[in-house]
Amino acid sequence: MKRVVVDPVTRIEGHLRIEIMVDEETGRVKDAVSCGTMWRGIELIVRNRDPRDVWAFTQRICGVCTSIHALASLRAVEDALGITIPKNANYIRNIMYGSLQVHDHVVHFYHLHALDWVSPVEALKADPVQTAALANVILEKYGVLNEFMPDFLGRRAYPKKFPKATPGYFREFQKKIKKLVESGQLGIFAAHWWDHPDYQMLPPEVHLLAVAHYLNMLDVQRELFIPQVIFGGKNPHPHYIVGGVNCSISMDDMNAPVNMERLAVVEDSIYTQVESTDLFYIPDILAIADIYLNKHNWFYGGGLSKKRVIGYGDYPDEPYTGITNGDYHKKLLWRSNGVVEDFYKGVDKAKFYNLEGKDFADPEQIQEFVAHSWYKYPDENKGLHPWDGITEPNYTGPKEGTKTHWKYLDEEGKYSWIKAPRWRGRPCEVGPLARYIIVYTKVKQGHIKPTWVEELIVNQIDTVSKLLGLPPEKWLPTTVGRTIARALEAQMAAHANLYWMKKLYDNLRAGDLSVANMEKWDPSTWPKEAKGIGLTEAPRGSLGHWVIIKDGKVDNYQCVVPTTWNGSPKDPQGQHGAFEECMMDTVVKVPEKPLEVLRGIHSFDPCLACSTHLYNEKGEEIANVRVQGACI
Amino acid sequence: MFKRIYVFSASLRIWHWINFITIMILFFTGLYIGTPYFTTSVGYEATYTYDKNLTMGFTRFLHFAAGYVLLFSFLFRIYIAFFRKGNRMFIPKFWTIEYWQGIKETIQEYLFIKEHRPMIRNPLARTAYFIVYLMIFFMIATGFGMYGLSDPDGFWASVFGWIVWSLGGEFEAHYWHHIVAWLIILFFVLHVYFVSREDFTHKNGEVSSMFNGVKFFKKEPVDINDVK
Amino acid sequence: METFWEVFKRHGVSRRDFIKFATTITGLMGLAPSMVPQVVKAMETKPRVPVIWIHGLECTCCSESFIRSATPLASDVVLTMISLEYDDTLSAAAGEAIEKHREKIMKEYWGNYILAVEGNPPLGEDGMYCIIGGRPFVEILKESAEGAKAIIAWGSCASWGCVQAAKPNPTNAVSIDKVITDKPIIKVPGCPPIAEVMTGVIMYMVLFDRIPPLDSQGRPKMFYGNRIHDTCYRRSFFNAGQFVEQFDDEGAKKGWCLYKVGCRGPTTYNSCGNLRWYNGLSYPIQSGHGCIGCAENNFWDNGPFYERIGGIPVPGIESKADKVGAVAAAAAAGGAILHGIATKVRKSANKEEE
Ligand code: HEM
Ligand code: SF4
Ligand code: SF4
Repeated sequence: MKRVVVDPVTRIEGHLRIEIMVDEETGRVKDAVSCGTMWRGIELIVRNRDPRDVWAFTQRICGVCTSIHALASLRAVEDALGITIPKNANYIRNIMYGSLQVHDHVVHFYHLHALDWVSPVEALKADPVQTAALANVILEKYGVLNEFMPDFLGRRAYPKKFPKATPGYFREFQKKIKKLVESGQLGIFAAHWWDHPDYQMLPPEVHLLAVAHYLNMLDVQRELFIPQVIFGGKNPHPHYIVGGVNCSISMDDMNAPVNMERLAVVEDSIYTQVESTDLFYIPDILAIADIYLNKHNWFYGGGLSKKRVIGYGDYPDEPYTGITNGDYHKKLLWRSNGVVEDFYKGVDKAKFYNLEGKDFADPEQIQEFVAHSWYKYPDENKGLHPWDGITEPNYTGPKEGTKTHWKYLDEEGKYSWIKAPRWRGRPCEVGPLARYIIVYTKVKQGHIKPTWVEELIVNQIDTVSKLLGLPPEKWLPTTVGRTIARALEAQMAAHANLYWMKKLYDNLRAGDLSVANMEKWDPSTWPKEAKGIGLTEAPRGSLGHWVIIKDGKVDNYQCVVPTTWNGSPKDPQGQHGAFEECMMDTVVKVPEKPLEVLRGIHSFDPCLACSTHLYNEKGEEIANVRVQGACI
Repeated sequence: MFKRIYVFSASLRIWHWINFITIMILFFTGLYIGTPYFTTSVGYEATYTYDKNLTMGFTRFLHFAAGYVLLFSFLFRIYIAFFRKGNRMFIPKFWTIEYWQGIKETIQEYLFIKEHRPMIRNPLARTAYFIVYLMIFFMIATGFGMYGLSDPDGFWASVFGWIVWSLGGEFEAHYWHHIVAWLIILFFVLHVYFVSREDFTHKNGEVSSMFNGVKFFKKEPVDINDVK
Repeated sequence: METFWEVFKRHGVSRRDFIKFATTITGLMGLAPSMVPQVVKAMETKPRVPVIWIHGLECTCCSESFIRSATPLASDVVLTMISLEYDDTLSAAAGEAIEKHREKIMKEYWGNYILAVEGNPPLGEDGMYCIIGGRPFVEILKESAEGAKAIIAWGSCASWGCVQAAKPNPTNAVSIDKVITDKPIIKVPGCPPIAEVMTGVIMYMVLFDRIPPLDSQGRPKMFYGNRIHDTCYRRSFFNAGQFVEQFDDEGAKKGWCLYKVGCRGPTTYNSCGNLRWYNGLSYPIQSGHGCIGCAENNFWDNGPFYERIGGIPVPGIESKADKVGAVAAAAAAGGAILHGIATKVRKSANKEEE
């Protein structure tokens, strides 16, 4: 047995520490402990504030998935106050949301995740001529998904962002990387485990191609967010208002926030989103995945996704009257709401449980536990529904070491700044993978008649299955599958943005210019007490905000965020979250350089606060994986 | 017979009325700046609001012009204090027994217990005036601070910029400038009342004194030394 | 270490293009054309600076903003201008490898590296609301600051405290200048700061090998010298008295001034009005939302965001200052009248007695 510490884990949002115990013979990770180590108390800070301001506070929960906590907060407050936003506001919010999905996934893959798969050092060995040839093959082979991708506007004369695939380009590129490596000042590439054998799994040409795209996309990613800059004025952290959006539209006034030119800027950016996912992201990830799965049989890291996933649903096609009253889920184009169990047995054998509207208000369905978190509840064996949630810090320190210099955490007691959310008392994985599994299961089992988005998702999964020559239950619930699902989702969101844009144009043409419903703006129109729920599918997984408003002020506020689901510590029953299960499901080649574990954790795109405890089959603790981050 | 005492110099009286007018202008233009209510989205086109002088720009111009007047009249007020004893009656002499005795008597009078001895200016009033001068200085400092910071390296920013930062920032400067504006008005209301009341109860020509400079006393006022 | 010119040469930039580049950035930094030779000289002689970028309590929006920079592009900054040796968000390496690397860089470049701090240290629970490697972040911060040539405080978190320091500040988070007092700190506030402001600050420091001219609050004058209100393109509507009264009304469609729906432009120092976001594409006011003052100290507690000036500083009273002021003035007048009547009654009573 060998104990390995990785601290900090980089290329995530926040800080991460892993301690794992590896069986040196088999390479199996036998045990691990993880702990969320940042707490900011935003739920406490928003108390007693004007509910119309809260979106801005909660938005600062995360600057990477910026705007999503604002959206959840707006939806919660609007649900509480009974506000229906205008159509244009709905489409614009969807475009802002979709742009986040595309941007967040693209940056995650290229800039946070790619270096788990590819290396600039390997890229030096590549032959530029062959790299160019390979680039063409990849585009041809894995670009087939583009064939059924809808273009609702049809206004691109030809693709403007197209992967460069000439030997000269790659030769120049390689030269630059070579000089950088030779300069000795490696900067962000410094000090990594470039000698890890996993970097040999891909041919050097794939490395060169991917590193070139890493830098390409570093420059392109900013353009993906332009819709938020037009509609919300800036990015990160664009602006919104309760009741709609702030960007009034007028075709009569020269100084209007949104006019024809502004819409054209948005449209152009959406096409950039489409091209970045269709022509770069999807082919790149599928090329790497194909080699990992089919050549190296690398199916690790599925973990909890095999057993249970949860989703909330998103993309209201038209404005809805409320979430708690069930109207939200009736209007959705992307009904990823529900729970699917045992997907690994095959889509026919998977079990589906529906989840909508009132279920989110049901005190028995979604609960948070703090038995192993540094918070206080009156009875810590019980979970609390977010509306009844309490956030009272209670730091107890580690098992070994001092209060400020830990050696080992107390995995039997409290060891994390994250709470443990559970659905009917059971842990679930959230994220793109979860959403894809849920939609696929719902459609294939006939629970829903698919919308175009849902049909597209099924089509994507079936096409990839064909390309890989593997059934979905085999490739989807794995670390690789998690990474593919994220790419597919980005592609879907980019094309959906064209759809929202079209709907926006159609509605404007019909003469409706309204972007905000101001009827309930004035606090004097509010009820004395109101409760609301805001749901959305954040890039990293399902996100919910629960708010109680009393006398015009926030009385209680609780956020259950994706990484809390995935990185949760144990619950009182000792059940683990998704990170733990993922690591337990992974084999490492070089124990002191557990690149595979990093890759698995990165495949969740951890956003700050996360926490896991891993145990061996007998339930003995062998080692620690500490995941440290910050979220709320 | 009433004894006639010359209390207020001409310069002080002129200053007083200029000060009154500027503060009124500053207060009402200031309130308008804080909440511009005349012209709204259904108001005039930009070009015509200029004609009507209902613009924010013009209101601010008035405010700043009056601000300059206030500044120079304030400096003038301090200047004349050096030349005449009677111009220094805003200093609360809280280190003297007489001060505390006077406070007690004045409070007693206001509680209808008994009238105070004749005084040219009771210590409570002196204290209030002192505080008002401080408030006026505060308004000048924050006002010119905010005004000057459109040119952070300019003259006004270098003289008064510091007060903006020591209050915690521009928002706080606006905030306190606004609050103290109301405190000055609060003083103004009470000031008018107590002056009239003094005139009424003591028949000493308190009100007219700010026009003709003299007050009348039956007996010699206890603080006669402050003018003689 | 290589000079800039050498780096450019290495990247195949011609001398002509190099001079052109130098001229452009001279203008960009607001320097007179006569400074071009100096800029060129600076670029020919100064070596690439190692940067250590650490994260405390934050939301990483500053890093995200940084990579949104268009001029210069983040890829160019990170790979050719500076040497970003340590960064939680972008560094490939992890764990002990990256920590050792940080120590190595600190030792090798003692007194020569730039420390960039995103987020801030919480002091509550002995700093254990933010833990890195089982140690409080505040320790890492102090340690990394020791050998730094200068420190950049990214964003409102590091500069002022930002959202986690808003009332009631449950973790006792403080700005970094409360912890580090013996080093020059360049505050680059904003939530987040504008991308080109961030890269502009870095570029200045790298080129001139000194910290940019700062105002009395420690912010670079070239980016925080003016209020948004003083550079806002809607200012003419303010002066004319044409205001948005409510979101999405006629005035909102006409793009009038947002003063009356709470715009904090008059009290906020930032480059939103002139540089704008995304290389001049837009800024919150242009999108129809008032500024919320995100570059200012305490802006979270100066709400609500949709009112110009909030309540008065008396706990329990929530009305606007004008309302309270008017009520107080009326009450004072009323009180005066009552007192006056009482005086009169007393006086006539006294007279009768006499
Ligand atoms: C007794 C004297 C004064 C009174 C009662 C007064 C009153 C006010 C009030 C109520 C405001 C609105 C504050 C807000 O809501 O932001 C204001 C703003 C202002 N005042 Fe004064 N003020 C006085 C003296 C001055 C002086 C001497 C100056 C110096 C020039 C000055 C300059 C300003 C400035 C620059 C503003 C902000 C204007 C803006 O933001 O557009 N004030 N004043
Ligand atoms: S300054 Fe504000 S925006 Fe930047 S990291 Fe901090 S919370 Fe995020
Ligand atoms: S919109 Fe804001 S910053 Fe612009 S002029 Fe109006 S108040 Fe000033």
